Amino acid sequence: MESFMLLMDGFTVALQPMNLLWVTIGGVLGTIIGMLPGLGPATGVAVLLPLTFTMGPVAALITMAGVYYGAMFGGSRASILLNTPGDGAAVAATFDGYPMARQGRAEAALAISAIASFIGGTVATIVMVFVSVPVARFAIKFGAAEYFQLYVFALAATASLTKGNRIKGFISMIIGLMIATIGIDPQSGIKRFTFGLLELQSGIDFLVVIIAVFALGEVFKSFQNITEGKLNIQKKFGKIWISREEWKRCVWPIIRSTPIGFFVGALPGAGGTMASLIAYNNERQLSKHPEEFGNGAIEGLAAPEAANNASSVGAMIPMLTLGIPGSGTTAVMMGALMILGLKPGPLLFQQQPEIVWGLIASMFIGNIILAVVNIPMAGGLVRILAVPPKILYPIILGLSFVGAYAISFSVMDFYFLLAFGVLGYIMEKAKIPSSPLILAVIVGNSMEQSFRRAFVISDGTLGIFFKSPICIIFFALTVISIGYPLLKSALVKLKERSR
Amino acid sequence: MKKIAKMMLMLLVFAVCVGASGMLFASGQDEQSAVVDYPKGNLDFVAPAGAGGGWDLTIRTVAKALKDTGLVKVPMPVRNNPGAGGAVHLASLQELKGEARTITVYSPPLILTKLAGTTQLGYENVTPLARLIADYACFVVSAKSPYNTMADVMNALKKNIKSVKIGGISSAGSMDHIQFLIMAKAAGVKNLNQIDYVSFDDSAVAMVLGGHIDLFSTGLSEVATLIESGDLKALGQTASHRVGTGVIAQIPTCQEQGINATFENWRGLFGPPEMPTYAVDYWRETLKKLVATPEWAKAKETNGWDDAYMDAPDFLKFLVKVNQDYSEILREIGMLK
Amino acid sequence: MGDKKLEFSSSQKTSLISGYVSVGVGAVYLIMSLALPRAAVGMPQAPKVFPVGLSVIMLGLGAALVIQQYLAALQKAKSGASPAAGKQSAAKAKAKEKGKLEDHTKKIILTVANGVLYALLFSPIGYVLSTIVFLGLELLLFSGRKRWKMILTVSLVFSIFVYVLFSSVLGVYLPRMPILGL
Repeated sequence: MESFMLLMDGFTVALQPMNLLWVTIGGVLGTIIGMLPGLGPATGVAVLLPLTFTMGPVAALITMAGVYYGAMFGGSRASILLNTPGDGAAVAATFDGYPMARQGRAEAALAISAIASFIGGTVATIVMVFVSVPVARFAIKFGAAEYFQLYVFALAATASLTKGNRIKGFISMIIGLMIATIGIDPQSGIKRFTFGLLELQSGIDFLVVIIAVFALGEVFKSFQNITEGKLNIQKKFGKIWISREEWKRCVWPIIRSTPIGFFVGALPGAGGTMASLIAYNNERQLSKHPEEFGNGAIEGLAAPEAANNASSVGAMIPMLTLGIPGSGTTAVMMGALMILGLKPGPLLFQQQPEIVWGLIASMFIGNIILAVVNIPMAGGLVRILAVPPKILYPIILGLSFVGAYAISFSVMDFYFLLAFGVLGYIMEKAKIPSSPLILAVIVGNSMEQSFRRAFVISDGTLGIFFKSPICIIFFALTVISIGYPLLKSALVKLKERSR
Repeated sequence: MKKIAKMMLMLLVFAVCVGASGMLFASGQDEQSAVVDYPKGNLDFVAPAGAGGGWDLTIRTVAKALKDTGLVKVPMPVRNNPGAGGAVHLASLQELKGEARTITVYSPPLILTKLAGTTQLGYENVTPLARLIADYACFVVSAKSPYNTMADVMNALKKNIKSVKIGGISSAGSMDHIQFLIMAKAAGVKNLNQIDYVSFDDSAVAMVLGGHIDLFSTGLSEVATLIESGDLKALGQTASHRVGTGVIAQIPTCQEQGINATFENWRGLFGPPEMPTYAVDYWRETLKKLVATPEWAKAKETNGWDDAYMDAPDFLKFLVKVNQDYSEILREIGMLK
Repeated sequence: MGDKKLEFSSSQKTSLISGYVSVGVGAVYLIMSLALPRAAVGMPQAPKVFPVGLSVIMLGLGAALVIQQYLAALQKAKSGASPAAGKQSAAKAKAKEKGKLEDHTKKIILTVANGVLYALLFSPIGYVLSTIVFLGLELLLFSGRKRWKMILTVSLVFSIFVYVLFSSVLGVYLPRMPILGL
């Protein structure tokens, strides 16, 4: 009950007109930033840092939260309309969102993405009010071995559940893991596969790979599609809403994906990409018609969107309760808090409750405002589809390059962008799925490092990987996600033969 | 005719855009130029790492304090130029030889990255302006840990070199690793390269809280709030004196515990190589004034930084000395390149 | 079976090539992994373990993909699908594919070349000028010379708009033009 009272106090802070204005401005700005390729929530918060210094700490935090959620909303906009995710967390939104847009169902896609995000974010915030401390205490039970098993599970599920040839899914995953080994190895300090390039020492940023594979890949494909007349311009636009039928299909996926997103987000270092992909895989496995996934199944968009926004709430938990950044974005937010004179950590709740609860209250309000602002905004955005492809694709290309540059201010990334763009195109032609590669590039380094850490901690014994119940659960999930599809196809074959 | 008119219109649009953006940049220049010659126009403050890290925090705090105190009146936008532990920015600084606009922050990795062979460039390739602050290494264990003093840890290591797993954020051979080894060496532990050090990116705090590693080697300011709340137990810090207030001031130094060594995570400001004298003089003067202001004192307090101000000439001598110290340790563990 | 040649459909052929390429990538990566230096701290071979493991899995997956295609073709040959018809249509499809490939492959190569030019010009002449050139050339590739007015307008407006948005509003600094201080 005490939390509830404090939350009410928080609302009185967050509902002050100026703070409402800030959360709205932050949300709209965040949406715009999130739509640009390469600029995700972390950059969004970082670029607004100077602006927040002139405000008080409460207003600054609220604005940053607005930007964070706005960028999460915006990232999936670009995924759905143009197949160009702004950051890792928006990758899963391309799987079914983009096919929906191509089928002329962009309005429904944008609507469900806003609705799912809203529900995911709001429910996660409610949960956070009551269980943030226990969740944080549970999250620290994850040691190196547990993280390793979690990464293996996410990767194995993604690779084995992709459409088409399963071997190709795993090949894609290995290519991604190979890319992730580039750079200085933190455990030994030696350089691996850097070819003497300084720019490669900290590895290739996964955002460059995402922009290359999706945005550049889309541009490369467009040459053929334009000559073949496959890219039709949408001229008529309907209302941004969904039918009752579509809503029914999405309810359960949203309800199931929210806790997944919330918890994965609360693990320091796991993040939105993993959350949304795990939720997507999960829905695909549970679905009665998995063949629709990847061809515009609306629940295939609703699930990752809900998980994604729930994870951004979860990521606040380690920051607020322990002073540990849960994600790249919260790391930036923590830095901002410290510049503003706050000390994020276990005592923040006691020492400055008005700030913490003001922030939590503004998460609620931010979610509502974003949903309200986003649906009319989507009505305008959807008209991007009316832009002739001959103009649209060069502009996507221009935005991709500036987005890649903004990641680490290095022209070297232009070459990587081009190289991975070509790789993505060739993989597309060879029918090798790209999502295992993307996830592998994102988590590959952490996965290897957690393996090595566990190995050192256990003095070189493998038993550590099966020591805790968490490890065993994830291992079992890995076995199921690889074994189940194999078993299923074997059963189908047997049936055919017996006929 | 129509075509020409359209062309003219386009040119006009272009000219207006150029003019407008030109004005945007000029606006900062005018007010100052009459008073002093430097700084003129926008300054260029750079954190050689991504947003949210220690360097980023330092340079942004400096920029904010300079602005709040009115010591510098021109705009000081901060940008990030991350990569290879600051070495990427170090390389790009070499292209700005003789520039006066660019100001950067560095700390021990400036020296360590060169010694470990990451880059050919080091402190000789930048212009030191002033050392500003220091944080100190702090060795923490989880509240339930059997270790209570640094001596406990060192004795355990002497008995069995593999018995204590050290965790840190930076990679092997970098700061978190070296600062522990310096203490271990002073405590008489042999075979330093046999000590298990595990690099954890950002998640190291969670690892020590969860009891997955035995000891976390980090900066005092990184874990101050967790020490205050009692979640972590601090065994020792590496300053030559007690620092901070309250619980933090109760942490004994390593020297008090019979380990005759200190380590400081100094942070200072640097300019590009061959920075013009007028600019160097300006910054020496300005930073000297800055460290005396109450705004700066407040910033130091919230961030848990200790005062470590040192003017440029002394700072350079200091750099030569620490370069010597670090290379000894790296040679001993076989990581010196 | 000996004298009978196996027939592969075009998608099987791509898979075969993918398999061979995967084996090649695995092999090259394996050699590079084994050549990595020893670590000074910790276990000396530790940095190699993961990469070597990856290359072994890659070799296995590549081989599996190749074998899979052979098995599928073998099964088809056994079940006795008419090979002649398949061959003809496959050849036809290939010719058709080749004709089309030429045009858009050329455009992709030109785009990559344009990107390299962009990278070379980016820092020396600044964001605005280099982007006008890059975007102008790219629009030319998409739309042809006749639309030069549109091309000029779009590339000018885009470059300046993005520059102002990033540098002034977002505080993300893009290289300036050497003249005019833009």
